[in-house]
Amino acid sequence: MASSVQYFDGKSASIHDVRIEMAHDGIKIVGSNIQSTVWPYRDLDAVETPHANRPMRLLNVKVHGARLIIQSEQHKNRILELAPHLSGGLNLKRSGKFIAWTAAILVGVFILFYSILSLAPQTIAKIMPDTWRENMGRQTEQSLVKNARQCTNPAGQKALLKLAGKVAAGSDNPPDFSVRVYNMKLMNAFAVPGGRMVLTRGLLKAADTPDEIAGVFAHELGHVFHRHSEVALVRILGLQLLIGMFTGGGDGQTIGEVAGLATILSYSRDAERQADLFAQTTMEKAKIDPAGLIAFFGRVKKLEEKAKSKSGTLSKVMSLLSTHPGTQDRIKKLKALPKGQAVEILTPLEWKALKNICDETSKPTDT
Amino acid sequence: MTDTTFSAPSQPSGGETITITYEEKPGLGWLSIKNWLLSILTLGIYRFWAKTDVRKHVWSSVHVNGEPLEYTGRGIELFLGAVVIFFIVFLPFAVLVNGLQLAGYPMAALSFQFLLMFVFLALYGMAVYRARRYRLSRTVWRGIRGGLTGSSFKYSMLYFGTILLSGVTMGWSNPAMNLELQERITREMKFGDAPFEFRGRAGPLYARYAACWFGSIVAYIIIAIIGVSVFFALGGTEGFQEFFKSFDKKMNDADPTAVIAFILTIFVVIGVFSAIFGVIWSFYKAREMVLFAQYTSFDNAHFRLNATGWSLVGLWFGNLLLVIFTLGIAAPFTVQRMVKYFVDRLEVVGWVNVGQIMQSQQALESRGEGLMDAFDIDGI
Repeated sequence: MASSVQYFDGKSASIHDVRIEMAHDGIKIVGSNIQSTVWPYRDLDAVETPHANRPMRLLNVKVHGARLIIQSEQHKNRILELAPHLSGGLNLKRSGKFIAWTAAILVGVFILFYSILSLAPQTIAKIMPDTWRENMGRQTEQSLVKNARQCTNPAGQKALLKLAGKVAAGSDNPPDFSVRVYNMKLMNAFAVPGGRMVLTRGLLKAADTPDEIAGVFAHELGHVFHRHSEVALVRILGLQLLIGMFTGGGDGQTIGEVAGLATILSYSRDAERQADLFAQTTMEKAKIDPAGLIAFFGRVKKLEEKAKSKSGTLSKVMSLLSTHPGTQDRIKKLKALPKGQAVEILTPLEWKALKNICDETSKPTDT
Repeated sequence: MTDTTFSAPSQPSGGETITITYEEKPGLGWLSIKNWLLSILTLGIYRFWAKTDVRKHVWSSVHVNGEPLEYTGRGIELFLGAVVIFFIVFLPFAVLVNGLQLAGYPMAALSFQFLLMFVFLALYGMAVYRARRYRLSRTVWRGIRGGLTGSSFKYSMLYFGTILLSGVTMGWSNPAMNLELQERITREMKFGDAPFEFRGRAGPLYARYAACWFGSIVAYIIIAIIGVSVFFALGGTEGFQEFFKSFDKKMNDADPTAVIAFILTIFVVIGVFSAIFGVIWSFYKAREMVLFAQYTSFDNAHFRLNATGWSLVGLWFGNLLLVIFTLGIAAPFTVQRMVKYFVDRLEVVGWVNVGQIMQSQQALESRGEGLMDAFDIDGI
């Protein structure tokens, strides 16, 4: 008569038909070709969670490779009574271990994210040699302006430097900077690594008063002061590293990149707020009226609304993924100077020269 | 030599004929959903545990003479393997390349990246070998585990040579070199203390290889003709310049429909290309699988694999559709389909003296597949 219990001893691939007895301390295994042995109940583990109508497959955690395969339902039930931990369910020791591991991994992941996305970029940006910043700045500036020409009308440049100097005087500890105007229609201003600032013809054209340009300049100077673009570049590298690490370059890559974009954007909005704050305090000290910046933002907002009403749903969704905080919020946070406190930044003649700085252009010069 | 060698080898009393079957069991659907959810919640980290659970399920559905296989690997082993590779390979190189770039040595960074590509190419075979070793050592039948006892470095050098030679000979060295690789890895494969054997020549592979190679050339020519006709249909050089100008403008304005259309076009073109060449080369792959199985033996058993080009196309195409239409949730079923394909089409002829096979003496490594995860090259 065939026995309903099979035994593999972990030493050879032979099948042994055995008899088992449930002793008080464990399962006693007896067979004709094997040495009798006892498997203590506490050392038992199930290869897979026991199921009715499927053979129960047991292993002994102390005997490598050995297996006991039990067919009879009667035996299975008896063993589950004596070693209840086999039926799966809650195992205190195991779930404790699981929770500890999960917690450890979560803490590790948090530390990893924090150090790669915040700590490391800020530290590296601070201690980075100036030659690196220069290099990064030159490359970034080139990729931003492409083949646009630099505006070099001498009177305009003089006015620009005067305006820049007045704003910078409002900072206790002004950073080194350089500023160039490019002959581009696009209305924008950038701060790139190495203290380089870029203004466009479109921006100058859109501004009504020197205060507005001074406000934009103060904001960009805030980016330079905090080295935001250096931090952001290092952060992007860190993010790529994290995405590669988490997704292993596989299926999750796209999801990872979207999540990464959201992260970058949230940091970017923080940076904008910081730069706005810098602009506010610096302008107050330099006695330049932030009302100019407020007016400028107001104009940006109108343009945004115009663009929004024109375009479809998709671009509305896109505007959620903005690098900048809502313009309305930014206007609210800025405070104008009391009447009569503000100084004149540029004479009307200088202002005109600045507006017309793109009358003369040249290939970009590197300083 | 004695007369007895001429009589047909009779099956001794400990010998067993071998039947391998795949017996599907319920639970893979739930496992797929659970894995998918947990992978998203953990930003992908759970994939090591997910992979492990899928293997446990699929392995235990493979029955050899009625006794199921058992996968004894653990998620934590795969996880630690990947972490170690991240810190000793990925991180230092990424820091170095990006550091060079930031510091203003773009040329140095580029040449270093080029060098790295070579290093990675040279390590690729090592990743393949070590992943195979890990999986074999975690595969248990009747309490006995598999193993791979050779040097992963030697294998990876052979692998590297295969890639280089393939470039030099426009692929014509592939059948011979693939055979070398297969021979090496098969002879180093063990179940318990019993080795697999591999004996055979690459010659019979070449007729099919030539057919697929020239088939590809014909496909290239047809694609080129279609490309040129499209080019002229759109108005030749001028028409194209016009098209690219308006396209460039749309891209610069970040017109969302243009961007999406552009991305979709790229996907479709890549998809069509890989489908055409995938189908052509499936016929070579099938031939290779059939011959390699035929060349393989274990104890007194030989293998026969009934793989065909169209059935491979069906397998891969089905897997692709499964993954696409379930957004990746059904990925575990592709593993099942692949394993089932082999098992259903594999026949073992002869007998194995199973009782004589003793446990493997190879030490178990504690981490698995790190490089493999870094290269993202495993199907199973």
